Amino acid sequence: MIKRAIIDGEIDKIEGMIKKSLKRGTEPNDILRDLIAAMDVVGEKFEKKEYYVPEVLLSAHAMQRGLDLLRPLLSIEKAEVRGKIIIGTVEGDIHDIGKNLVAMFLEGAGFQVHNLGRDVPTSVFVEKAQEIEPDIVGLSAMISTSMETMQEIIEDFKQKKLRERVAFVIGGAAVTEDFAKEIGADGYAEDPKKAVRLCEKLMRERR
Amino acid sequence: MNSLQRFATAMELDVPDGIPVAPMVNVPHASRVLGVKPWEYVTDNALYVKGQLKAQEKYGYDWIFNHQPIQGITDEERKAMTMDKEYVILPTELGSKLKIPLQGGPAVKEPALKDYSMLDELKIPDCDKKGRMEPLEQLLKLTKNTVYVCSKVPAPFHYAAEWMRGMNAFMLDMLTRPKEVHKLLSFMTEVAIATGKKQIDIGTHGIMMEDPSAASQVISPKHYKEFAYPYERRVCKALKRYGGDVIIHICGDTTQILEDLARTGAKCLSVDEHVDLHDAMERVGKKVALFGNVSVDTLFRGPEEKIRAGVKDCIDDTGKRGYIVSSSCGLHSGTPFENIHAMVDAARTYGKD
Repeated sequence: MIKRAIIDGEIDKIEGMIKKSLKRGTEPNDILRDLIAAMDVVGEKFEKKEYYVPEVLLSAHAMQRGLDLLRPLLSIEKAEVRGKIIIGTVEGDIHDIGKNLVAMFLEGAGFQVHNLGRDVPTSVFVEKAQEIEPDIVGLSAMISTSMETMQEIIEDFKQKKLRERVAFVIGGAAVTEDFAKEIGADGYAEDPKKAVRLCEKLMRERR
Repeated sequence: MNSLQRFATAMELDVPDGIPVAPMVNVPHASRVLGVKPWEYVTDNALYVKGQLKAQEKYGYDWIFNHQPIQGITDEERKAMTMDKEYVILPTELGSKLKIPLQGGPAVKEPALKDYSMLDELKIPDCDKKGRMEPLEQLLKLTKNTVYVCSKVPAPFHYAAEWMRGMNAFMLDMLTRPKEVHKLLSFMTEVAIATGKKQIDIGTHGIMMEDPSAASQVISPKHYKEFAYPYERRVCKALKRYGGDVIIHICGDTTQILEDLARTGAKCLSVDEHVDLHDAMERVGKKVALFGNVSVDTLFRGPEEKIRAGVKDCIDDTGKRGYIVSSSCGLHSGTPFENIHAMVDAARTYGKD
């Protein structure tokens, strides 16, 4: 039921459904599992072009509401956090739909995600990385002019001796797998589901 | 034929003396040709005109794309412009703000409508304001009908999404409050028609309408038909009645919606590299001219041989009737000058009648 409601983007019903389910005695962790499974289906539908950005966004928002409700009830041990990620759209670019979807999918998959927003100055990526000590830094760019900015961010991390501590993943319509290699990023993903798989792979390599 | 005749002939689905070439020279590239910062270029009508003329002269392509999204800047807007350490902030007539980084880079938009009730207070911008159409007037006057001068109107769907509501909110609104979305789209349609009509009165040769948010990577063909197509069509039909020719550009995949696009009443479709030009020509080439789609990535990276091959492929794919060689989208900011020279030269070589 809850899984179906997320897939269908029943954004107004989801909180009521979860509350009801909790009242009946369902474990919060079981509901969380449903949310994650639902987003997995949504990701597949996006890959198969059954869903487009609006539909995925609606499901992701429904899931977010569910997560907000469950978070205080879940006893997430440190070991259960699959990794820490900071993610943002680079300076000069306001396109953040894709990046937000990726952030929500990652959160849904158990990562601790710090979404820095859009048009994020390079200095903010650096400061946040120093503060949070993430495993992964995600950079997004939709317009081609932001590609150079990505390269600058990675260079800045090198100068500040932070580069070795994080893995860089990039995405967005402006960039490609080849470009990721060219600027020395650790990975590229073209959609939210592939981004989750990529981050899981990078976390395995880090351990 | 001069450039205007060559371009106009292709728009009429005819064969010119050579295939016209018209790369989408945008803010980052044109300002670099002129050697000024993008923000200086965008906020000064005279510099803007100078940049477009200089780029056309430098490369010798067949059009001038008057691509300013908000048209010319008025004195009022220049006065209201503010500058902090990092950005120039330019308020625009419908309430959105344009933020342009001082150090290079493109513009960032801040959407206008926090709430749909704000829509009731919005008025169709007055296109007669001094300065608003100045770049177009100047470009037409100075090129004296030798080059195809193409102006631009805001596509209802894209501008509603990116400038008025913000993409995230707008995408959700489509599913949760479609009525209000349609109301906004109707308003934006009036804006586009009023803007285009003024440009036609001034004597523009063609009108570009860029609607990238309607690409099939973003919304489904079904939603395109419901939210983008009807309004594109209303703009095209209205401007056609006033004697204007519209080119619709969508960067992103439009393969599935090509027939619909061709039914909007647009005279020409600009497609990006996701679209197979040969297939597009077979499907819609009898109805509309085609424009595109040399990869902007190739134009950015080169080498020149690859660019030349890309131009040749496009021409081989389309034949010579009703086709204009262009870049698949706006040029990447760092695109080397010699690469655009190579593109224009290849079009002249392979596009000869």
